[in-house]
Amino acid sequence: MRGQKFWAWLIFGLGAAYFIIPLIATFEFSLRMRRGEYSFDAYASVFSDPQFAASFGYSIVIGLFTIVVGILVVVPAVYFVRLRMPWLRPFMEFVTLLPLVIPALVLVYGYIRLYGSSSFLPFTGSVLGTDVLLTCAYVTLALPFMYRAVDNGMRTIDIGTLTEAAQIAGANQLQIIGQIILPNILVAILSGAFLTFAIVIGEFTIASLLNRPAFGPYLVGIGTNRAYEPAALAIISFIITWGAMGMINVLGRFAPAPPSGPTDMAAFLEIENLVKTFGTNTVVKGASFGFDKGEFISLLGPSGCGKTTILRMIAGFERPSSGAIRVDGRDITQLKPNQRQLGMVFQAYALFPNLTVGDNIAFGLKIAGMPADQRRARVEEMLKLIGLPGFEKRYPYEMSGGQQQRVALARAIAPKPRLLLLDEPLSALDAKIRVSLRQEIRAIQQDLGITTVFVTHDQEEALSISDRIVVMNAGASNSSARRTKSTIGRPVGSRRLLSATSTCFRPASFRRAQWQTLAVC
Amino acid sequence: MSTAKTKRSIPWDALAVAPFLLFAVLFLFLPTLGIISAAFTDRAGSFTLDNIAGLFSPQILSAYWISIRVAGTSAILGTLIGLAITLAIIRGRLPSPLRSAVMTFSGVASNFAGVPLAFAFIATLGRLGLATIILRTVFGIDIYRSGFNLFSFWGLTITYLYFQIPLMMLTIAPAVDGLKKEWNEAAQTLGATTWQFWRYVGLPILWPSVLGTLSLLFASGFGAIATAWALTGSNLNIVTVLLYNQIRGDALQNPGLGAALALGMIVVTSIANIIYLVVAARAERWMK
Repeated sequence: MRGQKFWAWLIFGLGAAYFIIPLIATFEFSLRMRRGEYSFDAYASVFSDPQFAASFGYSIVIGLFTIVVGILVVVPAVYFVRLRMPWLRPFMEFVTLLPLVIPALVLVYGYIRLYGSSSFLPFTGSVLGTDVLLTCAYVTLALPFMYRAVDNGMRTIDIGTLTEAAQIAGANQLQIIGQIILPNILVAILSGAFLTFAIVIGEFTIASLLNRPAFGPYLVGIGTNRAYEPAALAIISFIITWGAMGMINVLGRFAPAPPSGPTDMAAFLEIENLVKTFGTNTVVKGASFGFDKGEFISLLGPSGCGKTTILRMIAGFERPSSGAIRVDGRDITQLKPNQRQLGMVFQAYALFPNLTVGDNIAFGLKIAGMPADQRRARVEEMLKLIGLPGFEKRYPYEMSGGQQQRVALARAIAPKPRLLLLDEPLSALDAKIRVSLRQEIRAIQQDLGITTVFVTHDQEEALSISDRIVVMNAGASNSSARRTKSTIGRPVGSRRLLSATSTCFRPASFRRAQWQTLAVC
Repeated sequence: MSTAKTKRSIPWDALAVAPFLLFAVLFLFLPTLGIISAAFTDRAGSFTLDNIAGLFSPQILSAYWISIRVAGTSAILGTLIGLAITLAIIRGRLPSPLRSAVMTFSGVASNFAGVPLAFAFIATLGRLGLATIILRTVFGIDIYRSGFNLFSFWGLTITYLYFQIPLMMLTIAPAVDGLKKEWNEAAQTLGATTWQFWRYVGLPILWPSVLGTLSLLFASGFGAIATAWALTGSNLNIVTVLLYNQIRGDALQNPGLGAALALGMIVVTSIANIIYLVVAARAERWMK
């Protein structure tokens, strides 16, 4: 872990040097105008040059024009194509890719041929040399970036549903666009706008070929024969670009952040006084419990109560602040996850999308160095066990959620782990599959006799499947703890549980079970 | 009621998409078709293959070759270095404020191409550049005496990397973000080391995105003109400079040949993209 961080810093440092040194050098160079001492003469010379002011102003005007035209061209098209004409999408993607594939120089050459008079230079055509053509050329250049910014903005807010909701509320098309859609994608549009501006302000080639004589984006002036002003202009241009891009970054803070879900956790043989603190927040406060080999243990509790953290400490993804985890009498607290010989099934399957079902199941075997023919046999055996024989050539995306989760289970148990960890493996599935799959999981677990820790927030799920249940609660609310206890304590063992999975159940082990409430959060 | 009817009868969909389609036709399709047709037309307006044949002169062939080498080298190096930095920033547990600063900087640097970039490198690695002087006076290394020249193949490649690396980082960052933490954790619980995770899962998943960005970088390097023009003038005979001079009217003395030159550039970048599409189609079998 330390080594990884060292390499990250090293790579970052080398990269930073490559990018920062030229900036420092340019700045230093721009100060050299007065012989023998540093001065800002070059900047004074640039700013006092009337041509700089004129062309700079012109650049800003063209930049704004480009933004307006770009928005008008891109935003309505993206909106309606997303909403009603999805069949046009591939075409739009293709069109917006073209400016990245066809060099700008080639396109400009095409404009000159098409919109100029028959000769190339001097510009005698009626459209050549006008602001209109220059603006349109810049819109083309910025098209891929504007399109992507707006398209991403519309994807994150799910415009289809929003539009339907507004329609049901009685809004007409203009009201929907003006009051619902535009305000929601404003951040995306502005990001695209600033990016467009950054592109226009620093552009040279198109400007030098299409601009009107005597004016032109200010950077055209950089190509003069003077020595130090260009360095000053480069610094100025860098600062302007930075300003535009910085605005995009500021805007990003107003965009909705992608949700990040917490994970749940539970463990195997002996958990002793486990504590986990994140900063000042103690998530797990001294959890202790122990389980027999072959048992199916559930960690039951509301979300945020620390059950995931316990499971992740057993897996080794989190290091306990204090306490110990022992498997088969051996302290594994300091081991890395890949040394613990555990199997884990995740809430969101986490199948490797680039590998087939067979390769996913064989992954752990391959890592362990099992020969290919044995791997094949084991994969076949596993597929039979989970009721998916003949699926080894499929890719994860070709399967339903329930099938994927069964493959994930097979992948976890194929290397015969000492402990199986299930992190809310059923919560992403629909109710019917959930019931059948949990019975299957239980049957497989009993068949193999593998000790299993199962994290869930669903009482019924925990009750129907477990040998023992650890009830966790958020500490603060005693009443919820008591209620949880009582519902589990009585009807469980006798009625619901036995009727649901009586064949799997050993009442004896249930009587032995000690109910524990862990104070957490 | 009647207003409602009128409103409903307005073809919003067509109206909204029309500007985009019009724009695509006027500024992308027609100019490109114009170039293609001009490449096969002689001065009298009749069909000819002479312009294409004219491309096979030693001067033009070598221009294409140098352009392809500069674009290819800067794209490959940009891809590798950019990927390394992105992984270091996102997966290397560096402080998170650093990440947003680096990504903003990448946005700036990827747009910091053209003439200002050329001057920045002249001020750094030119004969009077800061780095050149410091290397000579402090470390006693005279890079120019040992054969380095900013106005050469490697000089141009090093300069191009200034926008190629950030371009790679910006494009690949979402893909790196898309690598789910659970995949790494699943691999670890199955006994895989960090290296094994990257070998069997991480890099194969990133591969299509890396390839796509590689072809994007190639196209951007191949089509770059301002940097090369300002940096090397006509020292280095690359194809964009040739075409630029042609458009300004002082190079080939033959408009048809100019169009052929432009067509050739479209062909080269298209081939790069087709290679990408073919390879990616194979690498993306697991995707929807």
